[in-house]
Amino acid sequence: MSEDMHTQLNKLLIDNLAKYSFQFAESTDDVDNPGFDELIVYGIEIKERSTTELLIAVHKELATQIAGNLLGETDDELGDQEVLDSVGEFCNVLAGHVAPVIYGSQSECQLLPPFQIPSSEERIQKMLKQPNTLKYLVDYEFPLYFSWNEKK
Amino acid sequence: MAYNILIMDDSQIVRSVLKKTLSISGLELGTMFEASNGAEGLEIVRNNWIDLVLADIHMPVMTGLEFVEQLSKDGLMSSLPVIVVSSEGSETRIESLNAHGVRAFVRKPFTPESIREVVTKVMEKS
Repeated sequence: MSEDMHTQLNKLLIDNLAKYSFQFAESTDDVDNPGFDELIVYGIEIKERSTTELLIAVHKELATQIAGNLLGETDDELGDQEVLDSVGEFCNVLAGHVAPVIYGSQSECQLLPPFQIPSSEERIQKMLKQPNTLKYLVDYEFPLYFSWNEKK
Repeated sequence: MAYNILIMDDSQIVRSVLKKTLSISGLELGTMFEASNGAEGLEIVRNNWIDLVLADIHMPVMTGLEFVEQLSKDGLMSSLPVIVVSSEGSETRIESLNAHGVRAFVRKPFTPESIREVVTKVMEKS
């Protein structure tokens, strides 16, 4: 990943988290890997002249907060599916903002529907450890991972 | 006058958020209809009095752009305002939507204030 793209994606993620009312998202490599069963993972494909897959993994408690902030509901009012769908929607929103960074502002990308991925999958385990995966601590405690790769 | 509004998005979550936002917008609301794609939306538009459509772009079965094209063919685009709400912000896409008669574009993530402002402006002009 080029330094410039890394910077742009980092800014974009922090801006979008702020719009979801997370003002304290810190980009850091100092994230203790949570147990895989503590993560909710979503992927989305951006199709243009090539296909790029974005992956986002968030701690379950952060997922609940994302859903709460999006829907204006308290934790105990939220259903499991609402939490999952909210992470999917967050992933979709990010993809919409990432697409012009990757393909240019004039591009006409197609975003496919976001899909949930079991956090136990090997590629997710790899993603968490990759050096070019963007890692955050949101509100000082909840891990969020973001990566993208061009599919062959 | 109470507005009948069609909310068209394949995400149930987005439809819920838009409904909540509209309900606190201060607009006088009639019936809020929901569709998960353009084809369902067309069916609703053809069988009900709708004053405003909030539409996503990417949906299965029929996209937002295809929906708008069909509305144009039916001669409804001039009388039925359509606002596109999408995470996408490609300049080319926005130009294309404008050329098809879409009245406004709201990029996700939106705030209740941004939706309220755009909807109010569009409805005042209609």
